[in-house]
Amino acid sequence: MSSIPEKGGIETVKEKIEDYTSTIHAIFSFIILTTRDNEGKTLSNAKFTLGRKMDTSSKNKISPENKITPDAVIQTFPALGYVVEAKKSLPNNTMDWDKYIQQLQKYDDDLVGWWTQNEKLSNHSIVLLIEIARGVEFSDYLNQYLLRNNESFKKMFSIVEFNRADENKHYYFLRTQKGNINGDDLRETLRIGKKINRENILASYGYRKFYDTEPEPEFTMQVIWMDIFNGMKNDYIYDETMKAYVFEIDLMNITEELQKLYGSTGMNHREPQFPKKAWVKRAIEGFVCLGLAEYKANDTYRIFYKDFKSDILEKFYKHRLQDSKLARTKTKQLSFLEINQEE
Amino acid sequence: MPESKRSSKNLIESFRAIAESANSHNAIESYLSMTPRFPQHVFIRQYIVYHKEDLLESIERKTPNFPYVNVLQKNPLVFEIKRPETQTRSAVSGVLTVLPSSQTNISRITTISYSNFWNIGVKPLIKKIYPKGMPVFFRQDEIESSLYKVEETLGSDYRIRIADVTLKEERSNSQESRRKIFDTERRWTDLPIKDIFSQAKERNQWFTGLSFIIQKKRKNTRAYLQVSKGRLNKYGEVSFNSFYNELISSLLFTLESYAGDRFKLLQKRGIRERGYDPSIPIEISYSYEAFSRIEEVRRFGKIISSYPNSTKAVFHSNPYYHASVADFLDGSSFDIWVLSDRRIVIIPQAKSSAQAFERLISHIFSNFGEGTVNEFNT
Repeated sequence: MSSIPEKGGIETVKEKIEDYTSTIHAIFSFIILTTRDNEGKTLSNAKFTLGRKMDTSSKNKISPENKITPDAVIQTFPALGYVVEAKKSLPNNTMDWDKYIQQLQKYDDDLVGWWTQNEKLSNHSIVLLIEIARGVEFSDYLNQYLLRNNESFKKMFSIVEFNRADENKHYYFLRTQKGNINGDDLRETLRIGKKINRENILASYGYRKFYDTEPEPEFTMQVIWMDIFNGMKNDYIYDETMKAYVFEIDLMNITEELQKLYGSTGMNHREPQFPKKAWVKRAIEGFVCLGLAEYKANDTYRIFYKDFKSDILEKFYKHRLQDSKLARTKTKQLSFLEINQEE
Repeated sequence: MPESKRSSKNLIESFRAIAESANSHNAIESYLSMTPRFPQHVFIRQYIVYHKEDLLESIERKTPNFPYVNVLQKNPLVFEIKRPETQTRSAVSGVLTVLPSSQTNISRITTISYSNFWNIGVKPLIKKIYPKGMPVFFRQDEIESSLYKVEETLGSDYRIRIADVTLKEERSNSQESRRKIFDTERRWTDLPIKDIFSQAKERNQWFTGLSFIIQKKRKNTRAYLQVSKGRLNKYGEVSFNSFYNELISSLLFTLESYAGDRFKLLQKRGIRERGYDPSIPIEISYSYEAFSRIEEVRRFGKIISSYPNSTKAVFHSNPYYHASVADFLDGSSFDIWVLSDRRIVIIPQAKSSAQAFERLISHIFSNFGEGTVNEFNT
């Protein structure tokens, strides 16, 4: 995840954070759609995880005998499953889309890791959840790609568009753009399109702040500062000299706490771990840039906690500006050294 | 010294003597229940406070910052507040005791005093005991129904009249695009409970406090005599000058049971204290379309941005609202969402204490509008 300043400044960062949260909510809207009955009750056999480590077979075209981690894996009946990948946004350059297609092709395999005795499932569908604005474009590109390479999906594959509908109630609208999906009722529901109330997503999964993709560092910084450090600082006395609560943290402890609170702990060997230690490190390094932390040793940091009254995202965005200043200074110093060496 | 002032002083001093020597809450309560109607300006004054821990500890912990607080005895808890005279205000002193309420974790911090002791001596201390203690918020409809309860308890020979109300009203010419301006006004009335509360609903007014008078019918006439006077403030303050037993068993009992129910609902919501098993969110719902216009969503956003003693992160403010709020006095934090016309959704985070919930909800109620607090209901 980049820490260079954004063209649109903090507003662009906020949009990206919003995209991140929207993607999590879109995945959960699909989970709600597949795992609950018409009255909203969870199906008794339904299982799902946000991210699941699955094993590919030796026949996998893209990544044989390897581990893959789709954004969500859902199993509604003993013999019916869904492997879901979600994309709220895509790079502008379509050349970069090939890797997304190849990612989907990795799932076109007899994957191992399902909630069955031998961890295999005879029947699963591959679902790409994509924001409606890019749905048709991506679908066309995928068709051309498959034609060009003379390839096709063996498993059922569908592109399901999602759209945030901001009416008097805010919904996620899901509808099949292309392809086919297992389950007669679900197929028909998605053909017509289905609204999932965003409040209902929050009611069940509002605490899930992370999935298996790194968010903008400001988001991780905000969660750490407001939900972890804000609670920790009450155990320490305010340091009048430093004008801060000063305490030490261990990177791994903070990572594990965030995983338990808002992510995935990886307790089961199939479950991924997120947020990852590297994401947390990047966030803490952001605090270092802002003079709110300093590195001690062995992944421990000293934190200088202050109570900020203004919007904290704007404050934390400034770490990028500091970062880029440092980078520029380093580049200048390097160039200077190189010139001197050449001379 | 005039007779009335002497008798007031005697009352205050005798309360002090009783409180200091009492060996139980009952002894103090029995004294309060037997006191005659107080002279003018002297009242039994109470703060209804939610606290999870021992209030004594909370007060003692604050005493280094409040050298004028002196604990006189611990069981029942009795303490003295003595503030010396300064250039801007006169000296105040008095004694307070903590009485249990009808609800678990809710107590009544009680004294007999003039208003200056209350305002200068007591209020600043109560503000400082947060987050260990938090004055409960009385909603307008809760105040209304508890006043009806008083009338019902007293029977047909008595009636209640509202003597004055302190109103908070949106200024009609405040521009929509800008922050709305509220006027605070004290109005004197002599109206029954129903009239005052219906008028307020019609005019979209809400009270921050009101004074009530209990009147008794004179035999064989249509006239009524004032037998008690009291005042309620939405932020947990109650005062009255007689009818201790009657008001405790009706007014206070009703208000405390509302608060007790709300605190039960708000307890054990933090993810960590639940062993990392997140709870269902809390909702504040409105009977009207509180967020049908985008201006109202913006206004709500500004109200959250002005929430004191907190850090905010605003992710989205139009057309829906999403922010994180961290209470830096308590260490609690919440995610706040507005995604429909009639509801605010509050998602508890790592730590979300009941008192921090109450402080946030009181802020929303006072500045945006009073709704109904419940567990999120699909």
